[in-house]
Amino acid sequence: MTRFTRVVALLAVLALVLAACGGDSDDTTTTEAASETTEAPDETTTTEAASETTEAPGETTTTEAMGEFTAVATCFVTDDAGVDDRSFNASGWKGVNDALATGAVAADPIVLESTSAADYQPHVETCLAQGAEHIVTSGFKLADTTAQFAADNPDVQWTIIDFGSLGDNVTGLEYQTDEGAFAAGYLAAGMTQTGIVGTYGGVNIPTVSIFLDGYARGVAHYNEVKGADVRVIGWDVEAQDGAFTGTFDPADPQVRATCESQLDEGADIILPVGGAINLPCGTAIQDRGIEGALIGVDADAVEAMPGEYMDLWLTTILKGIDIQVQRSIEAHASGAPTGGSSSVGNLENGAIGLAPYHAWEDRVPAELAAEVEQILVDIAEGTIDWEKFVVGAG
Amino acid sequence: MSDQPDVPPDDVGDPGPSLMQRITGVGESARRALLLPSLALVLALLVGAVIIMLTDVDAWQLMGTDAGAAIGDMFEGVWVAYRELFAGAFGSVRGISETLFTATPLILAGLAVAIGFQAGLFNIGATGQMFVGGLFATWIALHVTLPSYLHIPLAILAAIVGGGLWGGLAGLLKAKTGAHEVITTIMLNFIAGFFVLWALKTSAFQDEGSNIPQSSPLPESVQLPTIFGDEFRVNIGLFIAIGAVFFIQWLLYRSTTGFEFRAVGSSPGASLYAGMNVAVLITLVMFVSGALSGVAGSTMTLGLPPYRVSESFPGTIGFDAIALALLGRSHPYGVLWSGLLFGALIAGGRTMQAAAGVSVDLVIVMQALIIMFIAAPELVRAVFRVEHGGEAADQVTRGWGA
Repeated sequence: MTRFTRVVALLAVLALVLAACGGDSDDTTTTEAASETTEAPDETTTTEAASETTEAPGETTTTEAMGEFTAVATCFVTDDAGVDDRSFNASGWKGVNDALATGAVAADPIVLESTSAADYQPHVETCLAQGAEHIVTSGFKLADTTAQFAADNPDVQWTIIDFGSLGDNVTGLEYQTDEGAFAAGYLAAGMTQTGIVGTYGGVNIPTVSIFLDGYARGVAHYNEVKGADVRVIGWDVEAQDGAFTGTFDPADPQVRATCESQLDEGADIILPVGGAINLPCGTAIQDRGIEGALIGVDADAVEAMPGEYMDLWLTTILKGIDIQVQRSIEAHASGAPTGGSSSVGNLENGAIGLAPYHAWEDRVPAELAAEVEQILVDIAEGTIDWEKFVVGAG
Repeated sequence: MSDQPDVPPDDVGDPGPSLMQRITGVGESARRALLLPSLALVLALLVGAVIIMLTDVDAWQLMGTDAGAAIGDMFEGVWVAYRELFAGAFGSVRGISETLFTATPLILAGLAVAIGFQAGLFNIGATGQMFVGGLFATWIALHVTLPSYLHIPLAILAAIVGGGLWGGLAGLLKAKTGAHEVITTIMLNFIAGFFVLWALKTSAFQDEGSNIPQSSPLPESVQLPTIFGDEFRVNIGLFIAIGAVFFIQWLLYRSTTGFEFRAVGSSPGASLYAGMNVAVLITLVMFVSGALSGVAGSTMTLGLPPYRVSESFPGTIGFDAIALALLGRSHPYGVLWSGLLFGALIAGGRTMQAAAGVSVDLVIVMQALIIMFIAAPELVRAVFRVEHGGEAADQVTRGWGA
């Protein structure tokens, strides 16, 4: 009997283990799929200017790079969201791997996942102990640690995501995401049937609110140009405050409640900003059976989150974190002077863009689509007058 | 641990330990208190090894062509992972410092959960109490100017008050309204988390002009002094944690109040009949529990370089604390050793992640396995063929905490 129990016990444990592994590999595949699509700025149907510049890093570097780069040992430290966050950590790590593919990163780059703020310093120390020549720190939460260790280690090159430069050897990667959001706001204003569009974020931090701000300004621009009266709920440009779920966890009931309240007010096109907190909103729209739409962020939602919401994605505001990370490491690997400055990703350099309309391709009137494209060109060329969100150390 | 009298299971009229007492280890003998956790740890390491082998993608790809080499690689992978885990935790001054630094808040929060178990209360709210205690300490840190020898004690006192009130609130709700502490402490966690998120964006904590939920840097006078020099993070918080272990040991087993805490845990009805004020005791034990969590929170705000408080400073410590209180069988010394073990696992896990390429999630899985094996003693007994101690006939006589 004892032996039987033991066998059953081992089997049970094995089943658990296998289940855990199964889940894990699923996750990884999805994440990879998600990150792959971040390359999408290349494919955007947006502007000539934008797409030309975008193709440059994708294509040319790959082909001519191999011999040019002196591969650098690279180490990537995530913030406490971990590397499978389907957001900036995942995208940043993809950038490191893209640079690995072009020969800019030495074999076996290290990724160190943080589970709390207490991990940041030991992880950076581990990177240094392992001989990293280029350390990528992911997110503003690592800013203090990065500043301190970058100053103590002037020979190491650093890249920090979503923050300004922190020293002569630190490249800060910032994103003028409101450029894409502005165009998306204009598009939403042109598409709404109720005359009301909504937006909400996870937490009111600059990297989130910049989307909401650009979106609201894009709607205002539409009203100005067209003499229309489309209303935005969820963001107050004057107060720089709006609707926030307080969490990035899609399972939190507050997320769906926030979306539902905007639907209650009559919004039919909604821009939720923060990881997967747009998914419960998709469910809410489907449950109500209304003809609504969602706007995605970061990576083209249609490709990043395949599934039941395919008809809902009007477009995605693309934020090419991977592109910028790859460029920063490649600049180091090609011997070009790096660091000491912030590299702002925008429409002009192709790190920001709008994804194709996919299921909505036929429903967006050609005239509106042309206007949106023109706006993207105007923003890229700087010929449109609007107040951009100030990116930088908050 | 031997202070605990070994109650004969067949004592007349003794209904035997409840399910919760069996899982939390309240009232069990020293020998059993050591045996089960050790076996659970061994089993967790074994299952961890299987996981490392199963997730060794490179070796599995090799399996088709050269099975022998693939299996060799797998064992090599396990060896390297565990070697790095050990080296990362104990192999250098930095490793030892990191183990002790990580263990500090774990021991304090673990004590908080353990003293709750001793009184029959399941405090899942260590996270919330850490939030409030840590925030109170941060407020003192930023708004009071004092020399170090007064500033630090005052900030920690504030953490005791903050965490204690937050824990005591759950105790009061239970004592006065019967609201179950599992529910209230979980809910209070959310409230505390959002409160801290809001507070850190007010001018009382934030840098001027900043929009990030982060406090301004804490003054040097309130930063917990490091023990091995500034290069290593372990700080005097460790001494506070060890002091708390001895204090709680004294409180539980040498003071009248502690006896009453444990009496309430064994049988609230009998305690009431014996003339104890159960409502006050429940509130008080939750205050003490919350105060310990609050101090844990203050070690994370006052002791974590670069001394700038972010919105998620308790991390997962409040939940790890439940696991290590179970592993420590709810005994102060047991919590001390479990805290050091978890500290070593977490600190070593960081090195393992870098040097062996094994995901840090393995450490979390192993912590979960340890709890699972402790919660399923029959499983452990079956695997190791340990004889029953005579308590096999125990029944689930009460729900959790009741």
